[in-house]
Parts: sequence; structure tokens; C-alpha cells
Amino acid sequence: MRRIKKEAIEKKLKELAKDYRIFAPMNGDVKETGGEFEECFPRLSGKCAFLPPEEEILRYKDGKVEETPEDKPIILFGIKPCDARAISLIELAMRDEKFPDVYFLRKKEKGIIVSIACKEPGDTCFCTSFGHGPFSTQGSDALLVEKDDYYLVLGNEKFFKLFGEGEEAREEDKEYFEEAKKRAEEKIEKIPIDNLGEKLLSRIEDPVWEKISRKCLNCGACTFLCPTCYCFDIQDLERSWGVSRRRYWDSCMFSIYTKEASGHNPRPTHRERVRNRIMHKFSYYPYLYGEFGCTGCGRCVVYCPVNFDIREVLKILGGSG
Amino acid sequence: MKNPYLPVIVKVKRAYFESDDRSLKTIDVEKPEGFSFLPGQFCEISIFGRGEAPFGIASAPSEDFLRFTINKAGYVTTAIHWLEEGDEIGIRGPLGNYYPVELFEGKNVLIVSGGFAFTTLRSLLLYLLEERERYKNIILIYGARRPDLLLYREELFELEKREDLEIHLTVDTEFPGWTRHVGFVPQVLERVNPPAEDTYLVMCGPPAMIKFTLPVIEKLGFPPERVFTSLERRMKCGIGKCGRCNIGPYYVCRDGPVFSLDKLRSLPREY
Repeated sequence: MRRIKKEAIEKKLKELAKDYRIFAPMNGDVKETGGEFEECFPRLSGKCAFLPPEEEILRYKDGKVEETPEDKPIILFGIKPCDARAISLIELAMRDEKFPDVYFLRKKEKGIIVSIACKEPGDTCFCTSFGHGPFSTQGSDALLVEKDDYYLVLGNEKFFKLFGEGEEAREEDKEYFEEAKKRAEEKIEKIPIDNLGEKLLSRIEDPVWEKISRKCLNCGACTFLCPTCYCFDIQDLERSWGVSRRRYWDSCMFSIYTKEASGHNPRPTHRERVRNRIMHKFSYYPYLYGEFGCTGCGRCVVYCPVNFDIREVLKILGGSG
Repeated sequence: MKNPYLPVIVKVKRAYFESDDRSLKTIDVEKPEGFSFLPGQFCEISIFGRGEAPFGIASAPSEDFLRFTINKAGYVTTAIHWLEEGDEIGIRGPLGNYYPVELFEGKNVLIVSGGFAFTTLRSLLLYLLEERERYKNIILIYGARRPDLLLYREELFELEKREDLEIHLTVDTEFPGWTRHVGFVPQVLERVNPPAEDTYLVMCGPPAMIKFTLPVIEKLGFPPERVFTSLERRMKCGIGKCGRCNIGPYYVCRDGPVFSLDKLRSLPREY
């Protein structure tokens, strides 16, 4: 563990804005900044740095197809550890031997993710349910813990090379770290997830889905704000010089997401769509990649306009509620 | 890292209407160099400025062009219907899996199809006929509402003359000059009564046909693990990333479109 002056890191980040695109929480959302950041739990998660809401994937110009050129590398700074972890979860789906998602992976490989430990978790957080927590380092190149005018840093070479090494942490720093970690973890509600994937699978035709999905408006807020949701739509935009093919965030909550040209829709009602969202995160994702597609950040609970609480759903379906 | 989103530009070699009502158009396009596939796979066709949509490959792997037959249904397919010889389009592929032709070796193969779902089955049929001696009996049962809606019918009428292949073509109702079967596919299947023993069944058709054919298949004694079908879903990326075509944990674009009935029965009915 190292300790680096806050000032030094803040100053360095502003300098790095010359050669990097800096994404950080600002005015309540993660967005591109000039190196400024604010300490908050942003509404829009860190995924928007590596999987932007709108992104060109190719150009068609003068009868030829061109790959979209790479931009400057990205520094994603100041997000919570759950958001950093979420990006590593998205990576599981994007990293594919036969069909790698090059636009995500190139950004990810050159990018740097710096998270700030979550000393004051909210009452909708449930990250510890998944074996990680407010001080988790998974997916982060460095984890910073605020202490007075210093950051205590658990980082890799990539981080220290850019931000400097500071000094070796003192014994009291390590104690502070452990204590803060323990205090934060204790505040977080744990949801039982034993064999959740199998339990869900066995209840796929259960009438309870009807009840669970009834109040959902299918507005899609949960999926856009979710740090692990990565579904996208592809559209062509005609420009004076040719065609720009772009991808946009999409949501499995929308009926048109699966509706076919014939009018047939394989997921025609709220029941199938809500079921797919829950199953994808808690049954299909673990089946495919060995990890739940949820970090327990609680955004879908906070921002749902009808108070759909995924924790309650998991308790019902996991058999403990 | 190879970019899987970039299409290859190819020229349309031929474009013609397949049916009298102009709802179905066939395009034969140049086959890009090194393009190799097996029957059942599909391509994403790009009409730049309009978008991309997935279509099964109807040509045989050995043919020197790629064939697609397209029903005019939406935004992209309408633009495909405007294509003429010499126009350029983009294609990505081959994508998806294929009919398990390795399993068919030394076995009987029964192909059951209805309407314009026949496309990839033309590819399969020609593929099987190329190395005819590897398979036992090959039977095709194929129906449509009207004779002009039977895809590639001139070619099928020629194939009917072969002795090493049994073809049953049917239309829903009597038509002047039509001398083959009359009736729906499941009825003809029951009438033909093919043996289920040692036989693999490949079935593609509209939902109504599938619905009424399934009980017949069961009655004939085909176990679900020897029945294969190809599914269609709305797709965008075609490579298992954009998310929409999943059935349970499987993506129709990447893990399908070919599934055994056995596998489908273990999944939520989202197709």
C-alpha cells in the first residue's frame, strides 16, 4: 500500500487530460471532464467511458468500408469499486475469441480505471452479496482510500507509472484501511444467493413472474443506469460524405427490442421481458461466464419510478422471501 | 484483433423475383475470397444507409455465388428488393452454426419445409446430393400456399427426376396444372409416412406449419434429439453481443440458428 497526497493526484489528473480522455463523476453523472471530478455515487455508471451511449462502429465512404479510428486512451477516475468491477463483468461478454468486440476491448486495454473506496455505502447497496465489497479492487487499476489530505493506494504498475508512487503507507494507514473497510462492509445488506442460478431456472414458468413484473413500466431506466447492462442497437446515419453506422444503448425492457418485422414478438409482455432481465443477470450470466451479471450497486432500486426492488425479487425467487 | 463488425463489399450478380406477387426476391451475390461455410449458416446483409439484417444462405457451399431469398417485410428488406444486377451491398459472415451434417452420415435424412423457410434447406439438400453415397435415403417434403410460392421450383422439378431422392411437393389447395400433392405439409408428411428409424429430421417452416407438424413427428416416432430446426429472431450484431436474440443462455446468432428439438424443449419458449 502507498500513500499519495490528494493534491498531487488531482494535479496529475488535470495534466493527463492532454493525452487522455478523462471520464469521472461530475454533477451527478460519469462524464468526460477536463480532469475535474467530484466525490459522489453517480447516476450514470462508469460503463459510459468504455461503452458510450452512442458510438460509431464503421463508416461507408466512396464505396468503401472504413473502421472507426481509435481515440485517445481513457482514464476513468473516481468511480466506486462496484462500477470498476462492472466493467470487468462486461468484458467477459465482449472478450470472445471468434468475435471480439474490438471497440470495447481496445478502449479497455489501453484504459486505466481508478476507483475510490466507498466508505459510506447507501442503504440500497448489496455488493457484499456477490463476494465483493465497497473496498473491492476487481476491475480497478488502483483503489484509492481517502484519509485526511492523502489517498491510500492499492494499485498496479500502470497506475503508479502515471500518477507517481508517493510514499510507503504507514502502519496506522493500514489499520485505518482495514477499519474503514470493515465499517463499510457491515453497513451493507447481504442477499442470499446460494444456487440462485439453478433456483431461477427451475422457476422459469412460475406464475410468480406475473406478479413480479406487473408494476414494471418497461421504461428501461434500470438497464441504462445498470453498470453491467451492455445491450445495444445498431443504426445507420446518412451523412453528406456517406454513412456512419453507430451503436446505441438499447434495453431488453422495450418491446421493440425483440419485435420482428413480421410483427411477431418472442418476448411480447412485461412478464417475459422482466424475466429475461433477471434471468440474464442471475442465471444465464453465471452459466456462461461464471459470474453474476450484477454488482449490487443498487441503481435500479434507487431510480426505478415504480419502486421495483430487485433485492425483493431475488429474495422471492431465491426462496427466502 | 479482427473487427467482426466490418462487412465486405460484394456485387449483386443476379436479382429476380421468386414469386408472382413479388413478395420474394432472390439475389445471387459474389462470394468473397476465402468465404467457406456449411448449410444452415447465415450472413448479415448491409444496405448502407438503411441498415443490416440477417439472412440464411441458400446457395450450396460449392457454388461460386451466395444466394439469399428475401421476403419484403421491413425497412432493410424493402431496400433489398430495390437491388439490381451490379449494385453493391455489404455482407458479414458466415455466422452461426450449421445443420449437423456429420451426424447425418450413414443415416436417412428427412427434410420438411414450408414456404420461404426453405432457403438454407436448398443449401443442405444440394450439399447432401454432392456426396450422395455418404447418406442413406433422402426425402424432401416441401409445401407452400401456391405453386409460385415454392422457392426454386424449376430446380426442384428437375431434381424430382433423380432416382436417388424422394421429393414430395405440395400446395394448400388445387391449382390448374398442378399435378403433385395437395394439402398441408403435416398431412402430406402423415401420408408419406417415412420411417423414423435411423433417420434425422430437419424442419423449417412458418409457426403454423411447425405447430401442426410436431404432433405428426411425435406420432411417427422421431425422438426430439434427432429433430433439428433453424430459428429466426430479430438480430443486430449477429455475433452474440447486442443481446436481443437470446433464448435462455444461448444466442440464436452465435449458438444457433440450428437447434435440436431436444435442446429447445429445455429452454424458455421465447422464439
